[in-house]
This record gives sequence, C-alpha cells and structure tokens, in this order.
Amino acid sequence: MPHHKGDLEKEIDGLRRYARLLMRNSTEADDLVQDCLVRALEKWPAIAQVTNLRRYLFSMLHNLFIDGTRKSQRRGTVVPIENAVNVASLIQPEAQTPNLELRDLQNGLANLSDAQREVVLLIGLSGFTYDEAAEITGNPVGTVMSRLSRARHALREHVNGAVIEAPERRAR
Amino acid sequence: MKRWADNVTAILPERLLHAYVDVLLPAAKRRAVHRALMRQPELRETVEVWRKQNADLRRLALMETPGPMPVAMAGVTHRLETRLYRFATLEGLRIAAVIALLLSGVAGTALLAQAQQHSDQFRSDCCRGQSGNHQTDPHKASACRISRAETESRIRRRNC
Repeated sequence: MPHHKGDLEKEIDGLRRYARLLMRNSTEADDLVQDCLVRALEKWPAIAQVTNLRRYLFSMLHNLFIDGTRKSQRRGTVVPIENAVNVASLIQPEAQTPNLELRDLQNGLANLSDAQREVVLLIGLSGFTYDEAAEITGNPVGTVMSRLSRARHALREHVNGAVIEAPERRAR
Repeated sequence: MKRWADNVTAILPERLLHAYVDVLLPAAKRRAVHRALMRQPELRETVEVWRKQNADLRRLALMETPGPMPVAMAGVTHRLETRLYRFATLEGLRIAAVIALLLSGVAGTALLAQAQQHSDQFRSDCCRGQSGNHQTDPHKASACRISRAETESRIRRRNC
C-alpha cells in the first residue's frame, strides 16, 4: 500500500531527535534532516511504494550522515562558539541535579565512535530491531550486536566514572 | 527432549541479555531469561543499567528536541503536495498523449486501407467496363492490361 504524504511528516520528529543526539549540533542536525527530506521528496513516487518508510528514511539519513562525516574529515569540523565553551554547565544551578545524569549520558554518547553511537541510538532510542539497524547501517547483524555491546559497556563505564568524579567536581 | 528454556544455564549469553533489554525476545524465551536473571543478581544489575540507559536516551531526546520546526521543514507537506500534483498532471498529460497517438495511428491505418480498397475497386471496374472495347481501341486495351497486371501484383503483395 503506497504511503500517504502525511506519513512523511509524522517521521520528522523522530528523525530530528535521532539526528540531534547523533550530531551533537542542532543546526547541523536540522540541516541533515532537511537534506534527507529533500531527497525523499525528490524520489517520492518511488519511496511511497516502500514497505517500511521509517526504516527507509533512517537509512537515507544514515547515508547522508556518513557522506557528511567523510566531507568534514577532509575539511575539518566547524564548532559553533556556544558549543566550544559549555557556558550553561558553568552556571548550572543546584536545583537541576536530576539532569546531571542525563548530561553524563550525553557526554558518554559524545565519547563513543560514530558507528557505536548510531547503533545505540537506532536501537535504544528509535526502537529498531537488530535486523533493521543492520539494514539501516548496511552492516551485518553480528557487527551491530558487537557495536551495541561495546557502546553500552562504554556508556556504563563513563556514567559510573562520572558518578565517582562528581563529588570532586563539586569540591572544586 | 529438553526445551530451550531448560537449557538456560548459569551463564547467559550477552546477546540474549541485550535482546531481553530491547524487548526483542519471544515470550517463552523472555520468561526463561527472566527466571535465570532472578538467580543472578550481577547480571540483573547489568540488565537494569542497560534498561536505564535506553530510558535515559529517550528522556535526553525529549529534552533535546527543539520547539519550533524550521520553516523549510514544516513546508515539506506543501512541497510534497505540489510535487505530487505536478507529477499527476504530467502523468495524465503523458497518458493522454499516448492515447491520442494510438487513436490517430489506428484511424490513419483504417483510412489508408479504405483508400486502397477504393482504388483497387475503381481499377477493376474500369477494366471490366472497358473489356468490350478491347478489340476496337488498342490503346485502351493495353492500358487495361497494365492495370490488370498492377492489380494482380498488388493482391499478391497484400497476401504476402
């Protein structure tokens, strides 16, 4: 059954969330999603016939992300000034302590390799199965599983490390 | 024969734990892993940590999601509608053009065949009508012979 135009719009939020955590830069993430949507529009009559539109869009986003990563490896990465110094973290009030855990997780995600971060987000955030994640990333299921395992262990270690370091940070 | 659930021994493979956390196991396997985890607090703790990671990722995504959608992105439906309309119009025009070409082709062939038939009939009538004068008018007789030969060759060609 061909997809309706509204189906594409429904996926935008999910794509943006995924791209934001993947790219760590909101402007670049929105640009990536925008590129993905433009490409989807260009190929719409054909895309409307695919069985799983969501998987197809994520796969397209993955390919664009990989292309972008290769380009930025050649050119060098542009970091916005507001991201260079995390001003918000310096003036963080004590009342927002519950968000510290999430911030640690965010930092942990940032420390993962692109491939690991992608797998963790596809499975943990977007709820894809291992087979689907393998199709999206174009890797065998075994590779996806091993990346997921390594990423989860790394995140755990990072968050545990952060918890231990937290009192030291406060003492400073 | 032993069931799969009975084979879940003290050591659970890690891939099974991941699948358990991501709710990708069938009900029977899930129950078996759950029972096995009850006996192994260390593994249970690991599973809880991973589960929390998933939940925190979703919370983080909700926290990270910006409010307004960029204008270009919000206009995606409109652009898609325009594109689909344009595509449908072009497709309709293309189909109409193909039908028109086919119809004109069929009509042309029919007209040609009809004209051919009339011409053949005229020639044969002409020959038949003039057959009485063959001996008196040698010019007409030779013209008729030529036209007969022509008619026969045409009939032969058509039969081929």
